This record gives sequence, structure tokens and C-alpha cells, in this order.
Amino acid sequence: MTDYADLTKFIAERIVSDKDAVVVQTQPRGRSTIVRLQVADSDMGKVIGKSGRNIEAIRAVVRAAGLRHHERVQVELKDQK
Amino acid sequence: MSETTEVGVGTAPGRQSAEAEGSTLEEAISRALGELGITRDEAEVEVLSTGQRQIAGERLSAVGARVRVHRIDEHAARGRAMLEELLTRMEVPCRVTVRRGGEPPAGSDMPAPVILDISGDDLGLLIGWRGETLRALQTALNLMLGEEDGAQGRRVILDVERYRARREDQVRELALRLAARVKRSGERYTLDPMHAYERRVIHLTLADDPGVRTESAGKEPQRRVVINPTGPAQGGPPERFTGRPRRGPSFGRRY
Repeated sequence: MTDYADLTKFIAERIVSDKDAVVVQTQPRGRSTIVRLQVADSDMGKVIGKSGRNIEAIRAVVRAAGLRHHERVQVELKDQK
Repeated sequence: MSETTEVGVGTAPGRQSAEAEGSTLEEAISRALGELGITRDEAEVEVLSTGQRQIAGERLSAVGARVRVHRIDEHAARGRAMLEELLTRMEVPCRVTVRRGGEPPAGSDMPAPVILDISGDDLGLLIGWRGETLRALQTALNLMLGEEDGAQGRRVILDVERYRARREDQVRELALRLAARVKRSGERYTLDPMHAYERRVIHLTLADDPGVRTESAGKEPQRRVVINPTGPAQGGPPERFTGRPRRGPSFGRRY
């Protein structure tokens, strides 16, 4: 069983400047898994990228990991509140 | 081009690269590795000649294959280590080798970009529809390496079982066939929407053909290449081509 949270955290931590602010939680929802990724507000721009290019790349990588187990995995990015 | 490079800084005295020949690619590689006294993991392989062009439907048959093997540099080693770690976390069993190739960025003295080649079984999921996942993996890896807006030559390029190389060949073949058709009919041809790097392959392939002029039209992600004739119809045998690239025998699974 692939640890999607660990995978997402591994990627995110290497992109952001503030590693300690990276928080990842997973939550099963129906037949899919939601991965909630939280990063420092100052790192949001970097994680999202130009027209969402970076976050889409992260999503595609995590989704591909899920494909192996025929699981649907969605990464949701949220800012700090 | 120099055969080998002598080096003495930082590393144990020893050659940085060696060239070798063999009746197969593998044989050439192991000879070159033996000459440097290193393992495949410490090397990056530049294929100088596969000996014979790969023919559709035939396995790569290499007669007089020639390779140059380089001791891996720090940048390539770091990229490979990061990719291996990422793929381990994705639980994709595979092997990553470093390959040097492609053209260096135009008008610079940068080395050819580092290509990380992922090989293993059942890697279709790493490729995705028309290479979508492969491109995402490449974007993510470069971001993680901190190369996203660094010099272009520093970015690493990913390939899976030479998918990218095969796809490039197909696009090139398509461009040549369509150019012939445009010249015959004297009518412009608009291709299906394509990714920027595939459009680039078409533009480059046809750049030296005075009979056609290519341009890109439309907005992403619907941007397409248009092939325009530069003269009147030249006529010729009737058109049989359907306008889609043929799928190679090993085009691979698509998810």
C-alpha cells in the first residue's frame, strides 16, 4: 500500500523554503483518497506555479502512484488559516 | 572530438570517459565501463552509434555499436538519486540510468542535457496519455532539484524505455509525410493540437525544406502546427495517408 501522504510530503518538502510548515493528511472519501497538502503562505506561489503547472505536476505524480492500486488519489492544496 | 579526457582534480587520477565498440550496445557499454574500471551506476552512457537504425517491427540490432561512457557528474548523480527516491516512494520497481544526448541548447557551449532513462516492466503508468505523466514527473523532479528556472541546460530530461525518443521519431516521420502531401496538393495542412515540444520537432524537421513553411496557430492547449506550401501544387501519386501517425509495434500501453 503506497503511502500517498509520505509521497506528497517528500515532493512538497523539496520544493518549499519552509519545510516545517508542510503538513499532509490523507482522508478516504468513498472509493478515492484525498490528500490534503498545506504549505506556508509564502510558499504557495512556488507550489502552485505558473498557471498551476507545479501543483498539477504534483497531482499527476501522486495520481500515477495510485493507478498501480487502481485507486483514485486527489491532492488538495490549502493555505494556512 | 577528443577521445578521452585526462583529469586530476578532486577525483582519483583516472580518465573521465572512454569510448568502445561492440557487436551489441550492451557489449560496447561493458567494454567502456571495463576500461574506466567503474560500474554502470557510476556511469552515463552516450550512444554514438547503435550500428544500425532501428527498423519498425525489429528489435534493436546493433552492428558495430559505439558508445562513449562518462564518469557521472555531480549534477546527474543528484538527479538520479532524487528520481530513484521518488520512484521508490511511488512503489514503482525500476532502474534509472543516465544517458547523455539530444542537442545542447542553441547558441551556447552548455553540455548536452542529462537524460534520466527509467527502465522496468509495465511502466505505462509513468508515461500516461501521450506522455502526460512523464512530463509531470519531469516538472516535479526539476522543481525538487531547484532547477525550475535555472539555466536550461541544467534541467534534467526524463524518458521511460525510450518512449520520448520513439515518439519523437514518429512525429518527425509524420512531419515529413505531411510536408510531401502539402507540396503535392499545394494546400495547407493543419495538424491536431500538440504539445510544445512536439510542435518544435515538426518545425525543426521541416525548417530546411524550402517547399513548405510551418507556423503554430491557436491558443494552448489547442495550439496546432500549420504546414503551408510555398509554391503551387507539384502533383504526384494519389494520397493514401490518413493523417494520423502510425502506431509503432511497441508504442506502449496508454493509461
